[in-house]
Order: sequence, then structure tokens, then C-alpha cells
Amino acid sequence: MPLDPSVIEGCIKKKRKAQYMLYQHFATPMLFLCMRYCRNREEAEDVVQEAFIKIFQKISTFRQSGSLEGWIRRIMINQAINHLKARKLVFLDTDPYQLGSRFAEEKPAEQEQPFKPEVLQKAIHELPAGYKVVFNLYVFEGYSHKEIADELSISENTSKSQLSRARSYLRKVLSEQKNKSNR
Amino acid sequence: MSEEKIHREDERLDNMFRDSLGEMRVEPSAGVWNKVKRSLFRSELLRFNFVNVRKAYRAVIPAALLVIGAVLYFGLLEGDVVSQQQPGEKVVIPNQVQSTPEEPTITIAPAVTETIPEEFPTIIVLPVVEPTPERSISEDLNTLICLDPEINMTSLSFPASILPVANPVPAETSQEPVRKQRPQSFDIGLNITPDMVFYRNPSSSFKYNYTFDAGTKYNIGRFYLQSGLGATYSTAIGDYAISYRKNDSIGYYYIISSYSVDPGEPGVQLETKQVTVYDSVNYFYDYSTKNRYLYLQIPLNFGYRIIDKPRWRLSVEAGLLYAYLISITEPTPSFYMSEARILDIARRTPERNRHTLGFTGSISVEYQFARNFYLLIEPTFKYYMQAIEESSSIGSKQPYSIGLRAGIWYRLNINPKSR
Repeated sequence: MPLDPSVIEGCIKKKRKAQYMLYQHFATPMLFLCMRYCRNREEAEDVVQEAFIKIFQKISTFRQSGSLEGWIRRIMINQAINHLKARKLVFLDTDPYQLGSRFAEEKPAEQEQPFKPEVLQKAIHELPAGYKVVFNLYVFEGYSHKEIADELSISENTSKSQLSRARSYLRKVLSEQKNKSNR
Repeated sequence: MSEEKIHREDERLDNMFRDSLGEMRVEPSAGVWNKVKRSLFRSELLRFNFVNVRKAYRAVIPAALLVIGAVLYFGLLEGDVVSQQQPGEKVVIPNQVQSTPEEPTITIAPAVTETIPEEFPTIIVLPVVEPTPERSISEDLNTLICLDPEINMTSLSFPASILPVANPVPAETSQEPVRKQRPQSFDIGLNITPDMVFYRNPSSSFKYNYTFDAGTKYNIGRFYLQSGLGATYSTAIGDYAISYRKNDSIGYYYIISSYSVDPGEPGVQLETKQVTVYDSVNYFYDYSTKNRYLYLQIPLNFGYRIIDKPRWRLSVEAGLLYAYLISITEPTPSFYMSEARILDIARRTPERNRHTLGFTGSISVEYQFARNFYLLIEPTFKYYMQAIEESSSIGSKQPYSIGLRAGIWYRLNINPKSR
């Protein structure tokens, strides 16, 4: 359901009711977005909370010609990344799982049967933080490697290698999951 | 596996995640909104600015202050009801001993809230006081009863007839709470207040106002209500843009006035003359006048004396100020320039509002230099709840002012306890 434009006006005037309506409209999708970046739900809720405070404080700067959801999404992602950076986000240059070449030769796991969303969600959660951020930004937010590099202050090559390793790791996890369910 | 195939597989993996998780939602727990709300409240409180408060609330705030002050005042007044029964306090009860003719009972109302029950008609509790030749037990009873249980007490039984009964009063009379009377006084004074008005507009930083007022104060204890009548003299720059047209030079050119031929030199030598070109040109001229305004002011302030010493007093005060514009003196721009034709005189200074309402707050110091006279020094802050000027341009935002009120006051004592 689209958001009533008067809600934004109300938020600019700092009306609590309008702020609550905006929160209710976006809190559920944004919490899931943040959960993809964070270790657990509690951490994601903290990020959502901080991001909404920023949203309400800065909403007067939002240009109404643009997409409100896009603007909010951007703030959420930035907040999540800042949260990870505060936890010393590390981009692993090595391949701790020794996955790279082996999985390239294997038959992709996802080809045969679709996985439940919970399984996919769990697989993302298990990714190392650096892999996870790059994978999320690339796959879900549609960022290019250059944009990811700018956002995370890393090189484009690092972004590419992190994505490649994230994919390999996810294939491994999904393959193991498939084997488990076949048994 | 070829590069193209790898790329295809990567895309398939990405799509699988995107399709499955892209639209998923998770309901946040109820505490998240509460935390957001609390943080917003805190942040709004830290960034509080009186300008951000809605107009309706701006009027409510001073009113609420007055109400709180009144409640506080009456609350304290109630607190002044003096209990006669204090632990260890000696209570004189010359008229409170009664006996009835039918039954030799003694009823004592030793305190406001307590009486000795009738079941003890002939028993009275007395402190152990050794009778002396100068002072008998009955005298002691008449003058002293100690209510402190810590003091060693004993019981004596004796007929009521031995007790003197002088001017018996009904028991209920003694139970009436005694109200301590607050010192009351009425002050009148004359004051002058120079203040700087800040318009919060880059084009006009601040201006001076001068207020002369006759004030009255009604004091009850440490609280007082202040009002009066004042006249404020205010000056401001009247800003006008005068557009006029006059003939002016817009350039020049050269004309050949003569020529000569020198046989010794090649060619022709030209003599030129500069000719100025004139045309009617539009000009703007900024014209300023000194405008004068006179306001009638009626304040209503509620104050509390924080420090109340015999010689000096320190008070805080808050309230409302109503001002009515009674006189406007705005000189007409008089502009003259030879050969110029005035096209238009545009007034850029907005009209002033007739009615203004402001909120005032101040800290005042009073120095008693004679029995009934005292000096007043009072730094004041005034916030205008509406713009002084009508237009949305200069000064149309709610201005505020900082001033120093000084005056001499005379105190008329209503109650002798008042200083």
C-alpha cells in the first residue's frame, strides 16, 4: 500500500503520529534488510532503530521527487555498514575455506532443487562479514563493484574477490544442505 | 568450466537468493519503536528552540508557569498551618482544662489532633516535677505538659477539683488549626529599561528600545504579583527605494572638427572633439528615515524571592507582556535632485503590528537602602510571541530582547511582619 504523502509532511513537522506511520510502513522490510548484514536479530533491530532516528532527523532534506523507499533503504544500508565498521569489518584476502577452484568444477547445487528461504537466509548469516556485505550490496541492492568499492573504501578487485568467495561459500553450504536432506 | 558458464551459474545463484529473500519481511519487536520514540524525544529536547514551539503552545507555556506558581504558592500556604503538637514542645494550656459538675472528669486537649479519652476521667499524665515551695503541681499542670514520650513520665491520680479551671473554652475551639499569617505588602515604583531588540535577521542586527514604567507589586511572603503601566519608545530605520529618471551620459564619441594638411608630413591631420551622449536613465536610491514608535505596555508577572535578606533580595520572575502601538512617527521621504523625475517611492519597511504579546523572564535584585525604599536592578529577557512587523521581510520573525530594568521602589506595609 503506498504511503500517504501527508505522512512525510507530518514527519517534517515532527509529528509523532506521522513518524509512527512511516515507521510502521517501512520497519518490516527494513528489518529484514538489516538482518542480512547483521549477526542476529537484536543487532539488526539496533541498526533499524538508529537508522529511523536519522531518517526522522533528516527527513526535511529528502527531495520528494525521488523514491522515499530508496532513500530510507540507503540510510539503512549505510547504518548497517557503519555498524559493521564499528565492529572492525575485515575483508579477508585469503580463502580460509579453500573453496575457490573446487567449487568451480562442481555441478552447481542450486540447479536441482530450490531451497527454502530460511536455508538461504541462514547461509548468508554464516558468511564472513566482508563477504556478506559485498554479496548483499551486489545481489540485493544492485551496486556495481565500483560503487561497492567506494562505499566500503576498498578496491574494485577486492570487491570482486569477496563476491566470488561469497558465492563459493554459499555453494558449499547449499551443497552440504542438499546432501543432508538427501540422506 | 568455461568462463561464460561460470558467469551463468553465478547469475543463477544470485537470482535464487534475490527471488527468495528480496521481498521477505520481518516484524520488529515492539520495543524498537519505543526506543526510537525515546531517542527522538531526547534529541528534540536537546535541540529545543523556543521558535520551534507551536504558537498555541507558546501562549500555554507562560500560562502554565503562572498556574504552577499559583499551585506552588497555595500549596506552601497550606503548609503553613501550624501544628501545635511538636515532639518535645512545651504547650501552654491555661484554658483547656475542663470538668463537668456531674462527674469529676478532666478532659485535656493537649494538642490539636489529640485529646485524652474520656475513659480516663481522673488520670492525668504529668512529667515528674518535684514540687517546690515556689511551684506546686497544679501550677505545673497549668503551665507545662511535655508531650515527648522520651521524657520520663508518671501517672498521678487525684480529684479534678484540685485543678484550677479558668475561662473554660469548648474543646472544638482548641482544635481549630492556627494559620500563620504571611507578611503582605504593596510596592510601587518607577523604572527605566533600556533594551536591545534582536530581530534575528541578517539585515537588521539589533535596535534599542527605552521603556519608562510605573510598576506595582503585591507581595505575599516570598511570592509577588507584579503589574503596571509603561511606555516604550522605539526607533527603527525606515527603508525606502526611490526610483527616478534623469538625463545622464551613457557614453561618448569623437567627431572630426577640422583637418589640416602639412606639406612636410604625409597624409591629413585630423582634429577631433569628444561628444558626450545623454539619455534618460532609471536610477534607484536607498533612502532611510528615522521612524519612532510609542507603545503602551502592560506586564503581568509572577515572581518568587529566592533570597530574602533584610538588606537585599534576589527574585526570579516570569509572565506576559502586552504592548499596544499608540503612536507612529514615520517621516515622509523627501528627495530632491535637479533634473530628476521621481518615478516611484517604494516602502521596504513593513508596517508594525498594533498588538504584540510577549513572554518575559527576569532575575531581579532589590537593595533596601532606607526603611521603605529600595533600588531595583533587573536583567530581563523578552520573547515576542508574534512578529512586531506585519510583512514577511525584515523583523517579521519573532524577535527577542535583552534589557536592564532599573528603578526605585517604595514599600507600603499592609502587615507589620512584612519588611
